[in-house]
Amino acid sequence: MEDFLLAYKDKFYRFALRLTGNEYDAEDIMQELAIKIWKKGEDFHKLDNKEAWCMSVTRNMAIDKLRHNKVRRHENIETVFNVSSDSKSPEKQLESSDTMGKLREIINSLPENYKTVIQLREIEEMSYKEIAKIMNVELDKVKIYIFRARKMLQKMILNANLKTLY
Amino acid sequence: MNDLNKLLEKYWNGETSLEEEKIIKKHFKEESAGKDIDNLGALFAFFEKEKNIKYNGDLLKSKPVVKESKVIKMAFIRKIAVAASILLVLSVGTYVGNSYLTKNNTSYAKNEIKDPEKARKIAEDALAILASNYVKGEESMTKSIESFEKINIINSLIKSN
Repeated sequence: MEDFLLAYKDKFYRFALRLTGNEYDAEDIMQELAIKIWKKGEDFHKLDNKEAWCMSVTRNMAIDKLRHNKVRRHENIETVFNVSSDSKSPEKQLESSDTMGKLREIINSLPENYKTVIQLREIEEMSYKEIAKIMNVELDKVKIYIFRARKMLQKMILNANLKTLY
Repeated sequence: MNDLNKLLEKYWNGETSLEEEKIIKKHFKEESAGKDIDNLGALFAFFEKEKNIKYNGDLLKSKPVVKESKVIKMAFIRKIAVAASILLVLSVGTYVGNSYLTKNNTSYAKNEIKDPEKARKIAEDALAILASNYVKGEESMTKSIESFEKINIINSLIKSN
């Protein structure tokens, strides 16, 4: 059980962070997820797809948090995502963080279903089938969500003043 | 470039495979630095950087004993509560039942007829009422059966016509 959590914790955390938009709720979700796994005991090992089960539980908990705590969602968005930047000039770093911040705001403004598919497909590189299992929807529904989420993103980033991050 | 445009069209329509998406992202990473198309390079770079987010918190290393014991305690309390409810229902039921029987026995004793002649007369009257009602019931049943038979005959006539 510890090995499993150790191997997947970053993925679960990224997902929780993407959906809730703040590290406090994401941290809560991680703790609650660990408790749920422990409580499931031997039944957890019998699961066909442990990763999908955990992602699904993470998503449900994140949706609950969003419902109960809408105000905190956009709080300290810049400080929450603290990704280390590589060796760039201070000016370049400022541009990058600005672009990262803008893109985060854009993605976080998407509806929950679209945020979920963007996270799972673009960042976690999951197949449509895996996404369908996590979201507990039909495969066709996932395709529709991906299509609509990308179209929405395309429109939103087209007019945004973004600098390249590479 | 033409191939890339085709792939991008597929991408926006949600028709690309994971492999094709990797090709697009690789292209923007290696060849398009500084000459972004519709901010796509920035978007793909963003996705790439988001993969580096790590969880640095402490996850439970052992079984959560406190929470588990609370669960056990709650389950035990629930069982005790159920047992107490059953006991209460049984006690009240026994008490009410006993009182009822005692009360009824007393009333039987009060209405007891001591004169044998009078008792015989009352019994005869009661049987006469019962017999009269039985005859009435039998007549009513005969009438119903006759009506039912008539309906059956009419139905068969309608069918044959």
